Amino acid sequence: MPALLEAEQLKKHYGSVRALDGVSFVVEPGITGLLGANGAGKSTALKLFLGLIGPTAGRALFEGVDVSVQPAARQRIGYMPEHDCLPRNMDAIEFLSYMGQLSGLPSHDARVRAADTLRHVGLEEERYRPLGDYSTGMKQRVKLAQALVHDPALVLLDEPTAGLDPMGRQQMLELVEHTGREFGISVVLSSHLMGDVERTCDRVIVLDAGNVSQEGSVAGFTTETTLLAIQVTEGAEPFLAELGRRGIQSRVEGETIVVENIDDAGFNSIRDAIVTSGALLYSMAPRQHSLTELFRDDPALQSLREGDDA
Amino acid sequence: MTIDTQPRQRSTEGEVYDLGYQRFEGERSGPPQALRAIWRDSIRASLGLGRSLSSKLLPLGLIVLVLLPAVFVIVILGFFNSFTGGLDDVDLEGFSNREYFQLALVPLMLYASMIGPEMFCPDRRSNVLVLYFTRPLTPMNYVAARWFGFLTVSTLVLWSPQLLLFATHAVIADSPADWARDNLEIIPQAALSGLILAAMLTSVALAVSSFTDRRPYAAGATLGLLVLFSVVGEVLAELVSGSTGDYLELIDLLQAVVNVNNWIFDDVQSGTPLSSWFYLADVVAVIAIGWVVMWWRYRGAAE
Repeated sequence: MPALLEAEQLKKHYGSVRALDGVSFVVEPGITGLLGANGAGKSTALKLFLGLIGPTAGRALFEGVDVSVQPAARQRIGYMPEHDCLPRNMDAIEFLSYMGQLSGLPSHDARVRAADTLRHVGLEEERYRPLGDYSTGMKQRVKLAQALVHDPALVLLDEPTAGLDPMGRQQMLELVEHTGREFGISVVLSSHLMGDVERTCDRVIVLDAGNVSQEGSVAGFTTETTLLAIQVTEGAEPFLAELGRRGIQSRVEGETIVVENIDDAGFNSIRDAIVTSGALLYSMAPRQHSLTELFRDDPALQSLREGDDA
Repeated sequence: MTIDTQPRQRSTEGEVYDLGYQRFEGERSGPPQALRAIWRDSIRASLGLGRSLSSKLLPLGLIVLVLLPAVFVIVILGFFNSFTGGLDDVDLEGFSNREYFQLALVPLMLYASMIGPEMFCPDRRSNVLVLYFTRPLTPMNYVAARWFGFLTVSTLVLWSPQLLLFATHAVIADSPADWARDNLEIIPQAALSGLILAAMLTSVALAVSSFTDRRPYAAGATLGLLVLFSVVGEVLAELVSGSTGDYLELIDLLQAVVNVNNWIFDDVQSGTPLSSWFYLADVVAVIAIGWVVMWWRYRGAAE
């Protein structure tokens, strides 16, 4: 059975600019993050899979099919672009119904699914308002809804949290998770924000300057190495000094002392350091790495962390 | 057998079931359904249907304007019929189906120029094209569906007054059935002539609209282009003598399409300096050039 998406030595050059430089990867069902800084080749990869542009070399396949050769395959793909793309004078239900029909749904089914999809994205009450009157967050939801209205096997989301405030971002990520886990629709989430990918995705493919720099399951990345998070109510300074004397690397994050890469002997040494320093232990528990911590030393991904911080 | 005679208790409680997300198990019609959807949307946009009241006023007003000469002719014919007791002695020159498009050419130009841009401009302006082309649709499918959508409405707008005129002539004749039977050839003649005129105006309006996302600019440019070609063609035909001048008159697209109309109705060369085939070729060339322009403008629209 062919993979959901497959890139085979995929190249896309714009003159001397190598947007994608012979990348190969496979996307399986589930939620996959396509992570990379601006210009890393994420949007180019999505356009190649949608058949909107042709590759310089290689192949981009959806379920074994080159969509640019068989456009009918697009009726099982949804796409949410990054930029604004909604007509101002149409209401949401009419627009979604129209988009459903453009994806091959019969008129009546498109109408029913438009109402259902708007309910799923939380816009049921607003469905008869002109799209021009919607807020940024509502527009993002309509963009997601139009990608889902025809019940695709796969949706490609290009920066779905762009321009959203923290609350809107959280709600959009919840919708993305619902889509992937409850609706049973596979998702490719293109983002420059590690936090978004880490929170929602099963797998991540990191693009850097047109190449795949890392790929794997998010759980695999974040559990390969454990961290120990320690909180003390008193005696933090002597405790840190004692850790240093024992050669244990540590750093302070807010009220938490984080220790990395410890083995069994390290645990015993930390226990002894607490006793010796007289610190009052409040909690001590293992903590997973975040993607941000894992990619901390990768200079190519500096801008991703900056985006997260913002 | 026992019959329950107790009145049933009305339920005062209900339950709402959230069925959750439902997968679509029906049949998907792919590109044909997409083309139908755009064709239907084009017709709705041409008539202002599903839009605000102010958006409806312009197309409906222009359609009334196209019908107005027919209404005027009908009133005149009715007047003559009432006061002269028949039309046998009345000169109907200018009031027949053959002359109608000449009479209504200005309102027709206005309709095509001002409503044609509705096909392309709003989609470009709102960047919605990317959503079209990520569906089972190619840019040329999109252009074709828009073109046929506007052609459908334009053709119906052109046919309506012709049918009204035909019906009026029949009704005021001494023997309506005989008149209709004797003049039945007018129906296919008017239909063909209207279709050719609508196709030309549609191609010009949509080709010009493909250059901008602003409707007023597209409307002005379409109207300006048609008038400019008309004036330039007339002036050159006057200035340049001989057969060269006759060929230069082909630049006057409106006169060319009127000549084709007259040819269709008369089935003879109507005193034109060139063979009627030249005027038909001229109109067909304009339609073809319009398609080439639209293809050129939209060939990379998906990117």
